[in-house]
Formats: sequence, structure tokens, C-alpha cells
Amino acid sequence: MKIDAIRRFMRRFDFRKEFEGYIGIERERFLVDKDGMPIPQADLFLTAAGDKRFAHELSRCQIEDRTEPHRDIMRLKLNLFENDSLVYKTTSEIGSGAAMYEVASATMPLEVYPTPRYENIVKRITREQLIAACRVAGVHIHIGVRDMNEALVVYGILREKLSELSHLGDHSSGERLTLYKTMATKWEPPTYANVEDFYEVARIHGFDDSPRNCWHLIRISVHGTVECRMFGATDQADEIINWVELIQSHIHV
Amino acid sequence: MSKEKLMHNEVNEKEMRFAFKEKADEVLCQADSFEKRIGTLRVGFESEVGIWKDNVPYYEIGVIRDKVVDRVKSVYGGEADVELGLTQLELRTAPYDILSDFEALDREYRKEFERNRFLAGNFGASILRIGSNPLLPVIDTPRTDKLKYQLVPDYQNMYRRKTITTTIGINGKVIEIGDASIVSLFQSFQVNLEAKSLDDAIAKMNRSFMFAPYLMAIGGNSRYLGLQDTGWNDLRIVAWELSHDTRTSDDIKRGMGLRIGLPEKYFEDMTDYFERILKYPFILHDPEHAFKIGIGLHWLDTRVKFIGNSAVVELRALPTQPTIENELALTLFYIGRLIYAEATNEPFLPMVIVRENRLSSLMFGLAKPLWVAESGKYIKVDARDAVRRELSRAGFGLKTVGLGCHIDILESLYSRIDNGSPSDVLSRHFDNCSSVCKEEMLEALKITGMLV
Repeated sequence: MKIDAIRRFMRRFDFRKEFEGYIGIERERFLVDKDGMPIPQADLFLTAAGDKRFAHELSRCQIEDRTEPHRDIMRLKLNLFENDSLVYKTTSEIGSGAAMYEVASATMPLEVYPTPRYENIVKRITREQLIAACRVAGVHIHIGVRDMNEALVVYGILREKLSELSHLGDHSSGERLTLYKTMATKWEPPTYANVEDFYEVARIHGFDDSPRNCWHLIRISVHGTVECRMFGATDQADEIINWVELIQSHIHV
Repeated sequence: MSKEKLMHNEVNEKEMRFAFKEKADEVLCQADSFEKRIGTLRVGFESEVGIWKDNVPYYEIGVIRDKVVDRVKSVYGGEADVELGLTQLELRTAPYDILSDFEALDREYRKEFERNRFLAGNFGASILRIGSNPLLPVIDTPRTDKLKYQLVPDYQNMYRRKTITTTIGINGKVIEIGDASIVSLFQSFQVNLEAKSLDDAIAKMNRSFMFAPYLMAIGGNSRYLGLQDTGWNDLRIVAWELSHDTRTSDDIKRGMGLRIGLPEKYFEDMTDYFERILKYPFILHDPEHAFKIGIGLHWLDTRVKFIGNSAVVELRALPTQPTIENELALTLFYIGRLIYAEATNEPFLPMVIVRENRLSSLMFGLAKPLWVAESGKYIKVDARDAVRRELSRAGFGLKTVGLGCHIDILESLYSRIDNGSPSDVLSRHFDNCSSVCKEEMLEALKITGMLV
């Protein structure tokens, strides 16, 4: 029975060997008014942009952009620039701005983007956790891996580097990660000796049915990647590239 | 100058910084002395070319290069100098007021080039007119034996961030470029334009950042390294960026950009420009020339330098072109476009958009859409349409200042819209092969007019 459950769990991860070593980036940012205060305009932005590279976040004041997976660092950098230009164009058209705050003001609006998933999440969390979830924005780096075995190896290496990477990606003297940990109490990436171990943690932490609900700062994602979530928001593409290169040097890609 | 005097260390850096500031303050205090008469437009050229002779050791080509430079200077009283690369030389023209006599600049430039070509020919050598020399090795590229040409690349190699990616190549092509002396393979064609004042110099530099990507898209001429196809339209500046990135992780975290390529934002004024230069190490120790060294090591796509009491805007973004005619055409494209922007008080494109246009132009040339501003809105159009439209604006600018009679020179650029940049043309000779043999390369360079 447990073997079947593990098999079901494994099928939730879309590993593709052709993307081994590829890098993809997700960035969260705030939509802001002329005074730099976050404004709940994600739906307006997404309609105006009409581009699948952009998506909503829990806070209606935030949007997320994604790059394609790239092997070539300069192509990745160009993709970041492309997304930045589109954000600039779209925010100019809807009369707002965008800001890469790592932590937004505590007085920002707490409107949640209207999806059933977010509504469910909000029902389960405290107001303090909602505030924390709305105020923080980060950069997520995905490293493509060929299969679960490689995922566990890469995950294990990066887990050892959590403190170094967190420090490197911190622009708020630790405030973002403090808030993140308020929101995601199970933030610490545990050790996984093998797939059975990983499944067991998923079952106990309640993400065996939906690995997207794993909030560890490093996680094995459904996209078939190892995802680093410890980096704060930045408007510097060079900084993201530096993080990527450091990760690559650790895992010897 | 002894090697010890040139060594990089904290005390020497402090001295250099102090000397630079002193001279910069002097320039700012004497801003009036840099003001020039309205109604003139003084332009000069600097152009780097390679010397090539087949089947001889590189040092022998270097000897020929030295003899050519020596004779240009001593026999003809001309303007030429050696460059970082052992086989490179730089030729220069005096500045000419192109509003009164564009042909004079044209004549002198051709004369200088033909003289170098003739002298090289006397030694059985040819001139290589390309942005990246594809015939020389990429690692341990032969350098000119001058102390500064040893120290600066060595400094870059020593202090480069250890984790930085030092390979280049699109679509799976991977070429190692992790040696700063790689820049000795690169050759550029620089337009020097005398500004009317310090403020004018900054404004012209800022505007140049904005539209240079369109020129880069159509002017790309550095695609091959070590007989390998990188797939780039123009890899010259990017290879420079990657091999010369000595920023620490903390520098990057603080938002510090590179001293190569684009600044983080448009410059506010000359003080802002000088302050940026001061953020980077001087590497060399020669306080008497600190001002010149600081500016000389600030390798932006366009920079402001000072010659006597002239503030000179130097466009550095373009690689050496296959022909003098191509370079004259790009010069008129540049100047006409600049005049258009000034005459219409054109708003600046946001730097975020310029950044994308620039990298896209360098990487893909005319093959990927570029952003343009249209009635206050930003739209992305086919790069060919973007360049056509920019050329038309340049034509308008040239007419505005009475240079309309030279518009036909732009025709060669209009034909590139259909035929592609020189990089595109060269790559078609190899039918998309990722590596070529030396004989094939030499043949293609001759056919395309890049080896003469």
C-alpha cells in the first residue's frame, strides 16, 4: 500500500531529462502607486499584460513573472530584461508602477487575489500570517534535474548551503525571512535520505497530495526542479545571475 | 615607468583617486572653457584593425605591426598606435567640422587607412577589418609587450569573481573566454564628437546609450572566436563584460553595475559621471595621468573624454566594419539620429527597455523584435522595421543641419535591413557550421571584404 502511495507521489513530479541543468526564475514584485504604496491591481495588470509569463500571487498587490528554462546564462539574463520591459510597459499603461520591495509596508492593503486556492489558504491562517504573506516578495530559482535521484542529491547539497544563500539574498536584515517563517512555520528544509523519506515528510507535513503546498525554503518542485526560495526581491538581474552562478558552482553544473 | 609604480594596492589607489578628483574638480570649475561655438560639428575617428599574415608566427605579425605604426608616424607624420593585441593597430583622424566639410573627414580617413594597408602590404601582410579576430587563440591571446597591457588584463584575471560564467555561445555552442586578454582580439570603430559644453556632453552620451542598440543590431561584426561560431551578432562587448567582471557579491548586492557597457541609469551631470568612474579601481599607478586613466578604463558603450579644452563624446559600441563606406554610413546614422533626438527634444527611453534592446541586438541582431517609442507608448516591432524607422529619423536629423546631401551614404545600411549585419553575411558563408577551418575562414573574410 505504501509503495503505491509513493508511486502516486512520484508521479506528481514532472522530471524531464532534457531540462537537466536548465535554470528558470520566478520573481515576485509589488504593484505600487505614485507614492510607492502597494495597490491591489494584479487583476488589472494581468488583463492588460495578457501574457502567460505573468501570474498572480496571494496578495492582490503582487504579480509574479517567470522566465523560460535556460541553459545559457546570457539568454536567461535577456529573458529577465524582457519581463522587466513588459512590466514597465504594462504598468505605464494602467497608471501604476512596480517595485521590488523585499518587505512592503505593514500598512499595505491585505486584499487577496480571488481564487479558490488562496481563499482556502486564507481560511486556514491567522491575520498575522496573512500580513506576513502579503508583505514579502522573493526570487525563486529553479534548477532542472533529470529524475528524483538527482533531485535528492542537488537538494541535499543546497540544503547544506541554506544559511549562506539566505544571507546572500537578504536585503532586509533578515526581516523577510522572519516574516516568511511566521507564514510558513514548516520552512526548514529537512534531510531526505531517500525517496521514502521524502514521501514520509510530505505525508507528515501534508503536501503528499499537493507538493505545491510545501513551503520549505528549498524544495523539490512539481516542475521537476529543485527550487531555492530564500532569495529576496531584487531589481538587479546581475544579482540573480550571481545567485545562479553560485548555486551552479555548488552543484557543479 | 617601473612595474612597482604601476602595481595595484590600497595606497596607490588612494593616490590615484585623489589625483583624479583634483583634475575632475578643475574641469567642473572651468566648465566655461569647454563651451564651443554653435554651428559647428567636429567629428574624428579612431579605428582598430588587425594585421594578418598567413603561416608565420604571431610575434612576426607583431613585428610587422610595429613597423607599420612606426612608418606611419615617422615617415608620414600620420596618426597610428599599437593596441593591446599583438597584431592590432589603431588609426586616427584629426577632428573635422563636418557641417562645413564632411568630405575632408572622409578623405583623411580613407587616406589613413590606405596608408596602413599599403605599408602592411609591403611586408606581405593584409588588414583585417572585423570586430573579433577569429584567427587567433582565445586563451593566452598574444598581447603587446607594454607594461599596462600586461597589468590590466592580469588584474582582471586575478580579481574576477570565481563563480562567474566565462563561456559564451548560443544554442549549445560553448566557447571559453575566461582570459581578460581576450579583448586583444576585439576591434572597434569609434566616432569622436566634440560637445558644445559639459552638459551637452552628458546629454549626448545619454542619448547615445538610448539608440546605440539599433546601430549594434545592424552593425554586428564579431561572431566568431577561435574559428568557432558563437551564434552572437556581436559578442565583443559581452565577452569584455564577462572577462572583466571583478565585482564582489556585495558590490552586486549594492547595485553596482559594470564599468563596461551601460550604466545603471542615465547620468545626471558631469559630477555624476566622475563619481561613477571613482567607484572602480584604477589598477595602474600614475597619478599624473589619473584623470585619463580613470576615463580610459571606463569602457561604457559611449563615454565622455577630454582632449585639451574639448569634451569629446566617444561612441564605442560599434565593431570595426568591413569597409570604410560602412563606417561612414554608421557615423551618419549615429550623428543624424543624435541630431533628430536633440531637434525634437525626444524623451528618453526608459533604461529598462534600453537594456533589453541592447542585449537583444548584441545576441540576435535583426532576428528578434526591438522596442521603440510611438506617441509616448512603447511597442515592440520587428527589428528590421525598428532600424528602418531609426534610419529615417537619422535622415531627418541630417537634413536639419544641412547634411541632407550625404543621405545616400545611408543606403548601404538600408540594404543591410534585407541582407543582415556583417556577422549574418559572414555566417552564411559557412552554412551554419559551428566550427570552420582556417582556410575557409580566410576565404570568407576575403570575399566579404574583411581581409584586404
